[in-house]
Amino acid sequence: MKEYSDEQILDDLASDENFDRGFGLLVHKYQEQLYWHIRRLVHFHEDADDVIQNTFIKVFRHIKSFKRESKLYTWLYRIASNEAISFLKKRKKRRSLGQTEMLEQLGQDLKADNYFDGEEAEILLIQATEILPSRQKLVFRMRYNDDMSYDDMSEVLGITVGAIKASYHHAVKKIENYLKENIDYAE
Amino acid sequence: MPNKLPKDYFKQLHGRIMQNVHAMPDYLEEDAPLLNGLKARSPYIVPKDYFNELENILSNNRPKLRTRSLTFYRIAVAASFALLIYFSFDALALSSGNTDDLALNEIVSYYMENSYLIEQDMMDILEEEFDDNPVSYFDGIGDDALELYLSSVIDELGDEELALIEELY
Repeated sequence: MKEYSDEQILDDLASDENFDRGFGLLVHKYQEQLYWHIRRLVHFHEDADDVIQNTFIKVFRHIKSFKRESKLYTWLYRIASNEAISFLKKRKKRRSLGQTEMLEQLGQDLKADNYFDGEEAEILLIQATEILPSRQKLVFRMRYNDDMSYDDMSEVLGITVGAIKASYHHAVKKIENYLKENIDYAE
Repeated sequence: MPNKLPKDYFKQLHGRIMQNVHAMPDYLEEDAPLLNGLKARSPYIVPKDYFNELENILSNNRPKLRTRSLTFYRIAVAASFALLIYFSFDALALSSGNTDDLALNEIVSYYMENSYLIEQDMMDILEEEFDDNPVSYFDGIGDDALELYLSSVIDELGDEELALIEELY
């Protein structure tokens, strides 16, 4: 399928006649990018599938109110990020485990997951991101995995570029320390 | 001349190097060699044809769009004020050490769980224990974001709650 520009998609979405086509094009263009962003936050495919569907339902409901003051993709990331964080908070509340138990459980669940093909070091990285506060985790994933610019991250999170840079720096330090403390060099 | 270069090679070299510098994750090589070494591959897998199926699911199960009347905006503003009031009370309760007001905490939890746009900003406020100028936290939110947030508050409310807010305001 030909990839359309955001402007073309938004023009379609602005007209009742072409709305369905515009929404289809938007899903086609952004579903993978948003899915991977969500997946890196929630880790499990079934959870990411729920969150991505909720994200697009929210997008469907609110796209008419998007006034093009920000980039379309940062607006979509904002919705996806908040959906993922809300999901994680609910999951955390349901499980009510301490941090050490939670990290151990996460490691075991990942090893047992059919849709996860990572080694011990990759599980450690995922566990390390789980010790970060929500915003730091988002900042880290958007920069480390998506190579998103600080300006775009600022649009997504609604906070200053300086705060995001500091947050990323702290996140990297914490994760590196966690890896140093937990990597088994004998392997 | 035995060695040839692509046309404008040196003119473009600086730009290409800078592009790579900007694309590089900060700090990693110097400060975080272990983290830097892990970036190469993703350990996550998706089921075969997942994205085609997702596109079909989203095409066939679209929610009905709600028609917005003036009442919608009245309720949105009322709900937002209610949220701010509840939130302020909760911050006061936290600062005075009186955190056993379960009903209030439940209400705040409800809004925290069901709003998705400025949740992060609210978390910032909670983390910072509500400093003297909370309004500054919301400076970065544009009109699009605000309208999206107001809509989200309304979307999550049930008919009974909507009727109650309409009655109150």
